Parts: sequence; structure tokens; C-alpha cells
Amino acid sequence: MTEGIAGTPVFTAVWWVLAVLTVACAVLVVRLQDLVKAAMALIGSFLGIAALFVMLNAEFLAIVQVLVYAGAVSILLIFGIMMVRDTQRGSQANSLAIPAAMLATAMLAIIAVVVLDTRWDLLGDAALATGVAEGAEGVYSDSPPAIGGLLLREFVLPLQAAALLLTATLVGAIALVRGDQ
Amino acid sequence: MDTPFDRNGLFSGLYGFFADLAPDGFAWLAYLLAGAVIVFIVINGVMLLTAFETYMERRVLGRFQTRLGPNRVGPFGLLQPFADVLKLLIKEDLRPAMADRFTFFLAPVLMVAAILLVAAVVPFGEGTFLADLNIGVLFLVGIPTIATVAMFLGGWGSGNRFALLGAARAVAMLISYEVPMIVSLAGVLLLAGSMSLVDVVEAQRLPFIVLQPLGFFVFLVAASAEMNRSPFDLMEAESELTAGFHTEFSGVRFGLLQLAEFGELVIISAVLAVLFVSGWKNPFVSPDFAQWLPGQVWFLLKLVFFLLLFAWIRATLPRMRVDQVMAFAWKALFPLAIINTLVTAALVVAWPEPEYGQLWIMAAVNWAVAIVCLVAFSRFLERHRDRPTASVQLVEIPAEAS
Amino acid sequence: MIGLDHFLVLSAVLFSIGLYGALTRKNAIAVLMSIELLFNAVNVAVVAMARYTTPVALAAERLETLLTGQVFALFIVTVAAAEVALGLAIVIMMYRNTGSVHVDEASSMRR
Repeated sequence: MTEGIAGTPVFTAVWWVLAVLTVACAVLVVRLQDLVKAAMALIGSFLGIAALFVMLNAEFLAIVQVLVYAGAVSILLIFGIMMVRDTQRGSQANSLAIPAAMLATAMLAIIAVVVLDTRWDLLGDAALATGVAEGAEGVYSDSPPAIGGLLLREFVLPLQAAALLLTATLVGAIALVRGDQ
Repeated sequence: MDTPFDRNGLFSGLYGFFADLAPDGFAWLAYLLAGAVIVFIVINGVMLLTAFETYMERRVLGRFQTRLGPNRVGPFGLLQPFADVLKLLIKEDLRPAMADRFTFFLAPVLMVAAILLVAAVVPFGEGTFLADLNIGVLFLVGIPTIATVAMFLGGWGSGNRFALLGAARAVAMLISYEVPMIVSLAGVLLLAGSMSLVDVVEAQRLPFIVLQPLGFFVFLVAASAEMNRSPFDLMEAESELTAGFHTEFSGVRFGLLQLAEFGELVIISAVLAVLFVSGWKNPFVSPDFAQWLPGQVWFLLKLVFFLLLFAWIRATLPRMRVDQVMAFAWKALFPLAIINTLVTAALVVAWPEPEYGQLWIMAAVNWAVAIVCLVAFSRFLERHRDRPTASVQLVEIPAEAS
Repeated sequence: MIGLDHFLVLSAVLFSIGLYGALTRKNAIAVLMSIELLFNAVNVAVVAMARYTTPVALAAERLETLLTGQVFALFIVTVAAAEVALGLAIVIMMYRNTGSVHVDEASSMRR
């Protein structure tokens, strides 16, 4: 879908708009005191990331992001918020604000330096320049069957482990919340 | 220039038309304009159909209840929806003092936007659609979850407890019914071998309702729960909750919420037509025979058929009780959807490339499984019926000291 | 021209914001939200890496392996969903037992 326009100014402009929106929503999530509004900002951030996945030719992952994060996880969080008191000023900062900000900034600086300083095209024919590797367009334009194949062949053991994890989570969450009724 | 949209005849035609008009180097403008024209057609088509749907549903419900329905405005009352819209537009736009300004503004807009987004992937004729995504089927069930969030925001932002309770009820129901709804489509995906809606239609040599009776049933029930249609319209149970999450909305915002509700009905009907009765194709004949009618007309006919079906269901079934609704999703629909998926998967493994006759064998197996399962589950649920366990405790309220 | 660097730095920015939130919020639900941001940041990085750096020469026989990054991200999504469900169950238990969801006040194990 995005093969043709990966290098165009339109792509760049859309990317910057999405990046700014996503980061702004993320900042709101950690700064807002009203928990419900923070959850709304979180949904905005999730949707922005889903759009970024589309720009990375990962449409399947984008719709999973919308379905699981924007649809299910955020609703779960909002239900959790509803069950506790004092949501209006519920999310206050503790006394660690300044050290935490310094730590986060330092971490960002380190990662940014490492990222910008690394030669990513070590193996020569990487798709760094155009965005899409030579001969790989077909995979990206019809990715769901390929992802299914990968999940059920190479990654079948992790898939089973994930299923087991989800079952355990379900049972655990029910057991915890039901208590000794 | 070769467009990457070979299968989309409408888009390529429009693109060619605009590309001839535009000067050199403005191909992207032609691209944009062609897209905008189709967006215009799709959005206005959905709007018009929604207006028509409200009129039709009121007339049909009237017939079911041996009364006339709206018949005063225009010939046969056909202009009634426009009168309604006009009334909503000139009403005062109230905002309760307790309401959260931003959320209250955002909720109706977000809801309509989510519903209209779904229309983008529905192919309404051969080669006439806006987009053919490789994740089309997931898009159909994924994007309406944003409307769920909007519903919650509307209930919470109203600052009204009835609205909040209605929203909480609706959201809990919606996320429960999403699960069987998605799983019920797995059978369709297995048979079609693709998530693109155009591929799904083209794969239907036999309409999938014949091959997937159980999947169709589960999807129909789960979808009517997703739309908050009767018998699942618990969140607006007037006797319990006034009007659910849209209690406080009035004027234009209320109009938008109604548009979203009935627009979703139109779009779900379109989705049913595409996924289960072969979209723009003539459903009665095998592919060797003629179409008889243009694809768009077939599509519209099927859409109207499903609208009538939903009106019929609404007129017939009583509303469910709130404790039955959740149990129904998890104890009946979800296992049925799983059984459907497993049986279909086994059949697809048995005949990976079925001939036309083998398709009928698959259909027969599926119908047998569907009937056995439905009978077994209804008997099981009848025997283990959930009876309300909560007892009402009368509390003496001390007389107020005056 | 948007390249791998852009996506990776964006991911790092999101990660830092999430880290800041997870360290500073008092409310356990807000901490959970920040952790979701961390997961998402990692997902962006993983998908961008797979998209931009997988050499086609290595994947010439089976082009699907170019999508390995997306599969990794899918597993991360699964784990994150499990994490938030269990996390919320714990938060609700904590609220029932102590009447508070502030992580600073959950210190009964220290005594």
C-alpha cells in the first residue's frame, strides 16, 4: 500500500504529524491528573502508533493494535478507573519527579546517540534507502497469510506458550477478583 | 501511468478521467480527486440509506403492530426522515452543567467517524469500492471498537449516573459479544482463504450462508448485540435506565448518535450481504449463469433484505434480562463459534480445492452440525437456566429531621 | 526522507515518556498505563527494525521471514494484554483490601 509513496514528501509530512500527535498524547498520559482523560490520551497514543504501523507496511499489526489496545486494553483500564475513588485528581506525581525526568532524559540521549551512530546497513542490501527491500513488495502487500504461516510453523511453540499464558492469566484474574466468595 | 488498483474499475476510471484533465506532474492531484469522489459517494450513500432505513423501519414496525407508521410528510410519508433531521438541527443544543465539555463534544463525533470508516472497505459492486485492504474482515470488526470507547466517553462525560450506568452496561456487553463475532468469521476466512473483502466475494461460488449456517447465526446475533438492537437493547432499557448513555444528549449531538446507531445497522447489513450472501453476485445461480441485474442492484437488494430482517427481529423478540445477556454470549455463542471454526477447518483440510459438488457436501455437513448444535445448546441452556439470585432487601429510611 | 533512525528515535522518545510515567505516578492504574506505553514503544522499534534492516539476500528462499518482526510484535501485544488484565486484578484486590490504589502506600510487606 505504501510502497509507491515511501519516499515522497507526503509520507514525510504524515509521519511528522503522526509522530507529534503520538508523543503529545503520551506526554498527556503521564502528566494529566484526571485518570479518565489520561486513558483517553492513551487511546490517542495507541491509534497514532497503529497509523505508524500502517506506514511500516504492517497493516495486520495495525488492526491488531486497534482491536487489542484501543478496543480492549483501554476499556479494561477505564473499567478499572471506574472501580476506584477520586479519579478527578487521582493521578498525582510522587516526589521522584525530577530524578525520574533526569533518568528518562539520560536514557533517551543514550539511545538516540547509539541509534544515530550505528551503521544499520551492515549486510549491504538492506532497504534503508528506499524503505522497501528489492523484491519484497509482494510479501508486504499480502502479509496476513504469511504471518499466519510463520505463526504456525516457525513460531508454533511460542504461540502455544502465549495461549497457555493467556489461559493462566484468565484463571488468575478471575481467582484474584472473586476472592473467597 | 499504471495504477496499482487494477481490480477497482471505478477508481481507475475516475483516475483516468482526472489524469487527462490535470496538467503534467499533478498525477497525485488526480489520485486525490478520484479518491475524494468515491469517499463522497460512499458517505452520502450511507447517509441516504440511513435516512431511508429509519423511514422503512418505522413503517415496517407499524405494519407489525397493526398501525400505519409515519405517512403524513410527503408522498407515503417519505420525507419524514428529513423532517426529523430538520427538527433535531433547530433544537437547542443543551450541555448539562456537570458534563465534561471536551468529552461531551468528542463522543458523538468519534462514534459517527468510526461507523463511517467501516464503510470504506465495503465493496458495493464489482470493481466499485473505496479500498480493498488485505485485512478487510478484521477492519470490519476492529474499527467499531472505537465506537465502543466513544459510547463510554459519552456516558461518562454526561455527568449523569443513569448515563454512566447505561454506558457501563453497554460497554461490558459490547466487549463480550465482540469475541464470538470475530470467531464466527473464522469459518468464512478459512473458506475464502483471504481477508480481503473482494476476495471473499469472489470466493463465494456458493453463498457462504449455505456453507456456514452456524457462523451466519452467531454473527447475526452478535452483530445485533453490537448494534444495541433489540433484543439486546439493554443499555437503553427505558424502564431501568431512562435512555442509556445518550440520556443527556439533545439537538445535533443526539442526531449524530442516532445517525451512528442506524448507520451501523446499514453497514452491518452491507457486511452481512458481502460476507454471507455473495455481495454483488446473483446468489441464486451458479457462476456459469448470467448476473441478470447489475451488481450494485443485487447488493442493494440484499442490503434491504437484511434491514427488513433486523426490523422483523426487533418487532418479534422481547428484550433480554441483563444477567442473561452475558451468559448467552459466553455459554452459547462462543462455543458455537468455536465448533463452527473447528468443523469448517476439518472440512477445508478434507477438500482443500473443492469442486462444485463437494461444496454441497460441505454445506450438508455444516447444516447437520448447525442443527444438532443449536438444538443441543438450547436444551442445555434451558435446563441450566440462570435464575436471578439477588434478593431485594428493604431498608428502612429514617424520616428526615425537619 | 523518513528512515529507520526516525522510527527508532520516536520509539526511544515514547519509551522515555513511559519510563518517566511509570516511575513518577502514584496511582497504580496510571503506572499500568505508562507500562503500556513502554510496550508500544518497543513494538514500534521491533517492527521498524524488521522492515528496514532484514537483508533480502538472507531471506531469499522464504520471503515471509521478512515479517518476523511483526510476529515478535504480535507476541508482545499478547503479553501486554495478559499483563494489563492481571495487573488490574491486582489493583482491584489492593483497592478492596487497603482502600487505596497508591503504590506508595502498598508497603505492608516491608514491616
